[in-house]
Amino acid sequence: MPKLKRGLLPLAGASLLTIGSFTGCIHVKTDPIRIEPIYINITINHKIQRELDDIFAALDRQSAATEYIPLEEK
Amino acid sequence: MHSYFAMNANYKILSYILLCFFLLSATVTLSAQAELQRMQERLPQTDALRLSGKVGENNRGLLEARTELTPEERAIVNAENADRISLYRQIARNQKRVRRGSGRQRAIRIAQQARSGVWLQNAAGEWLQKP
Repeated sequence: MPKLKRGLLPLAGASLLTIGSFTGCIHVKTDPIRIEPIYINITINHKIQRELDDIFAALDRQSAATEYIPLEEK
Repeated sequence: MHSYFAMNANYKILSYILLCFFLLSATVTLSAQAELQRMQERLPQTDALRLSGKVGENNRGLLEARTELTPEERAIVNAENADRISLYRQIARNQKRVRRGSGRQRAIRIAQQARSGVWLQNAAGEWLQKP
């Protein structure tokens, strides 16, 4: 029995060392992911908006998929 | 006497111009009315497609399929887009702009007015469901 223990000790030590070295290898550092904001310019042409509203207002009022918002006067 | 005739001729030219302008605007209005009439008739179907999420409103002011559509649904979307394009062209002509410009302006307005659950494409091309 003590013979077996003596034989197992280096084996356990070697496996611990191997696992330890692997643990060191798989440690990966990741930088925090930064999500940059996207800036998009939307130019609202009030003249076209007015004409679009003149044409589509009645349809937008009737539609169940839209809620008509009166166009702001500029 | 001469100035009287000259003035009369000027009035004549002016009245011709006004008449042409009136006829042109009347033609445009009548054409727009036809498209609007058709769009109004198919409103229950287009509303159902938009509210179910099968189609969304893209950033060019047109309907776009988001799932597989049946041939009937596809025909509705195509007919709706054809009428919308025609109206955008008329507005662009009036404003001396390109058609795509008025379509994009309409897309902004659609996004403002869309009800919750409607799919919208933003200016960057991403699809988002209106909360």
